[in-house]
Amino acid sequence: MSKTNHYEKKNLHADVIVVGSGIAGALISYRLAKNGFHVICLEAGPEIQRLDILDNFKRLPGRDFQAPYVNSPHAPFPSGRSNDSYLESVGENTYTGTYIRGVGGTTWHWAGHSWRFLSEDFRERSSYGVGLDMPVTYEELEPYYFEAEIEMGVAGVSSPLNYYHVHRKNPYPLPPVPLSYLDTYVSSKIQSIGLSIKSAPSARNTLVYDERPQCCGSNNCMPICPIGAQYSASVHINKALQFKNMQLLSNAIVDQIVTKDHKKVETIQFRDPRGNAYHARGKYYVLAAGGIETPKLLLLSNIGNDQVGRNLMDHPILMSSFAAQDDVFPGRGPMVIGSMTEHQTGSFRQERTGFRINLKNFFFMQDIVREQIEAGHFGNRLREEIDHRARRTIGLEVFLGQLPDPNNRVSLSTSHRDALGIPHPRIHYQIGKWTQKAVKPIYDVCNEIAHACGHEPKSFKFDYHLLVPSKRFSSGNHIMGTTLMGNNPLAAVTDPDCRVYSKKHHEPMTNLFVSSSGLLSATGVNNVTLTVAAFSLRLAEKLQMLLKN
Amino acid sequence: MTPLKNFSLNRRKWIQWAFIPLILAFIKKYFSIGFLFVQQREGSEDSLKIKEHEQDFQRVFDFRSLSGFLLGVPATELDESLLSQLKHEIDRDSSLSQKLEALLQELDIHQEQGSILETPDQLSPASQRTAKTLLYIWYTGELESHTHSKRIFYDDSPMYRFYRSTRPAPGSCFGALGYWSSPPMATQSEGLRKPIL
Repeated sequence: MSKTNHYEKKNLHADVIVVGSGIAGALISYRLAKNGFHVICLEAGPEIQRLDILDNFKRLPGRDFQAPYVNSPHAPFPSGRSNDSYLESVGENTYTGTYIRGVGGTTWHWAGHSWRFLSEDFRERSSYGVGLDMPVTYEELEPYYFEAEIEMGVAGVSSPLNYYHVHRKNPYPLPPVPLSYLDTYVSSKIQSIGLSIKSAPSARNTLVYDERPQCCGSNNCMPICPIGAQYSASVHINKALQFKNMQLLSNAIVDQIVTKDHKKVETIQFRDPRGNAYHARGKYYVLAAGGIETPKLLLLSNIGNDQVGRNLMDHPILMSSFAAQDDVFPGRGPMVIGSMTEHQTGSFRQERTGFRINLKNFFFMQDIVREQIEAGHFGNRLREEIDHRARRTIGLEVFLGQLPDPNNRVSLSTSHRDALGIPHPRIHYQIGKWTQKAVKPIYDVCNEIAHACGHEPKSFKFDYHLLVPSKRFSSGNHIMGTTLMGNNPLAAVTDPDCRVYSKKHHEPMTNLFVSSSGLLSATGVNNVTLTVAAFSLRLAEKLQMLLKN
Repeated sequence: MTPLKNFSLNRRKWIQWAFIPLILAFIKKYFSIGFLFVQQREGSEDSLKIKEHEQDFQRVFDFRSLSGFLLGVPATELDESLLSQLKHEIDRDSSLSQKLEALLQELDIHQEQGSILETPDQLSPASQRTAKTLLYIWYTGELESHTHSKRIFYDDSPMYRFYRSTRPAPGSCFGALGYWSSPPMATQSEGLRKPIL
C-alpha cells in the first residue's frame, strides 16, 4: 500500500491526478496504476471502515442510510433529511439526492443494481423526438459494460443473452441472485396482468469472487453490506494501492484547478482539513467527484462553458405499498432483488417517461410498528397486528426518467459555505411534465399488482408527491446531466472523449477530463452505476493510449 | 402495583399470578416499614438517602408494570436488561421522564380510586401520547426527542426478537445464499407469535 501523508509534501507530481475515489475514480486509478502509470487520487472525505459504519448504524435511531457515514465539516455532503443544510435548494421541487464524500464514494451504500442502459436510452432524441442523443452508442460502450461487469462481479441471468432487453455478447461473470419467496409469490400473481419479476443484475457475489464472500442475506445492503459480498469502489481503491505507483490522499479537498489560458490545466490546488494549501501536478487530470461536486469544482475554478452544472436529472421515485392476502415474509435476503421491466420503454416515451418497478424486500418494522401503535393497538392485539403486517407487507419502488432541462442546474451558493470557506452547491430543480405524466399509468399498474395479490382492503397506499409543487420528492440518488457529454462545444460540457470544452476557445482542453454520472444526457430508468463504470473504463483506455504516446 | 390488565390465563398461569400480588405486597410492605423506622430513628440525611432509594425502586417498579401492561406481557417476564437500559435512557431525557412521571401519577390515581385500567383509551390524551411513545421505544429500541436521540438496543429490540427465527435483524448474516427463496419453516413460523421480551 502506497499512501502518502500529504502534510509532508507541498507539491506532488504524477502522470494522472484523479479527483474523487468513487466508482469512476477508483476504476480509472486502478487501471492506470496496474499498467504502470503513476496516479495520485485525491479524495475530499475520510477513509471509511466497514465495521465502523455497521456499528454506527446499529447505534443511531431510524433507518437513515446517510447518518452512519461521517459528514466532515471540511467535506460535507447532503444528509437527505428535510433539514439538510448542504444543498441550497430553489425551484419548484426540493432536490433530495444524496451522495457520500469518502474513500470509495457512494457505492458503500447502494442496492448493488448494475443495469445497462437500453440502446434507445443512448439515442432518445432520434428514437422519440425528445431529450438528447448521447455521442456514444450502446454498441460502442458494450465491451466496456462487460469489462465493468467483470471488475465489479455482476450477477445476472445470461440465458438468453438479451434477457434484460439489451444485446449482450457474453454471459455475466456470476449466476443471478436467487429470487426471494416474496418475489416468486408476486411473480405468480402478476402473470395474469402481463408482468413478471426478473432477478435484477447486481454487483453482489452469488459465488466467492475476487476474494470476496458470497452474499449471506443480511438484508442490510443499505447502508452497508456487513461482509463485503456487495461490491463497493473501495475494492478497486485497495487493489490500486497494491501498486507502488498509486497514491491515495484522503481528506484532500480540491478547491481550485489552475489553467494556462483555459487551454490546459497546470496544477490542481487542494487543502487539508486545516486549510493548508498543496498542489498536485500531472500530465492529465480526471474529475471524478460525482454529478454535483464535479460541476461545483469547475464553477469554483471558472472552467468550462455556460453549460457546466446545467441539465441536472435524476430518477425520481414513487412508492406504493399494500398488504397481500397471504404471508410473503419480506426482509429475507438482499434488500431489492426482483424488478418488473415491462413498462420501461416504448413509443409512449414521445409523451412521457417509462418506468421500472422494484419489489422492495425491506423489513418494514419501524413503519409497521409506528402505524399500528398510532392505530391505537396495544398489548396482545398490537403484537398480533404487527406480526400480521410484518408477514404480508409488500413495497413497490418505481423509478421514473427525466428529460434534460437547462434550468435545472447546479450553481454556487452565495450564502452558505463549508468549514474551508468553499461555497455549498445551489440546486434549482423541477421534475417536469414529461415525468409527471407517468404518475397516473404508474398508479394504475401498482393498483393492478395489489389487486392481483389480493390485497387487504384499505391497505393500498400510493404516493402522489410528484404532482404536488414544492413538495420534496424521493430521489433515486442517480445524479445525471450536470457535465453533459456531446459533440457541440456550446451545448455540452465535455466532448465524446470526456474532455472538458474550454471556456474561451470552444474546443476541448488538452488534459482535463470528466468521469461521472454527470456525463449522461439521458436517464432511461435504469440505475447509473454500471454505465458510469463502463464510461470510466473507456476513459482509462483513452488515457493509457495518450500516456503511451 | 399489581398488573393493570385482566389477562385471559390458563390454570397454571392463575396459580403463578395468585402468588405475585402476595410477593409484591410483602416487598412493598417491607420497604415501607423499613423506611418509617429509619426516618424516625436516624433523622434527615440518612433517611433522605433511603427515601431516594425507595423512590427509585418504586419508579422502576411502576415502569415495569406499565410496560407489561402496554406490551401485553406479564411484567415479571420482561427482560431485566432491556428494562433497565430503557429506563436509564428515559431518565436522561428530562421532557420524556416528566411525561412518564405524569402518566404514572395518573395511573396511581386510577389505582387509588380502585378503577381497573382496561385500555390506554381511559387515560388523558397527554398520557395516551406518552404511552404510545413508550410502546414505540420498547418495540424499536429507538428514543427520539428534540434533545435526545439514541438507539438503545438493536438486535435485542422486540421488533427483531419476535422474528429472530425467520429473519435477520438487518446487518446480521442469516444463512447460505438463497435461503430467502423458501418461506420460513412451519415450526419457526409458530415461533413468530411467541413473545420473547
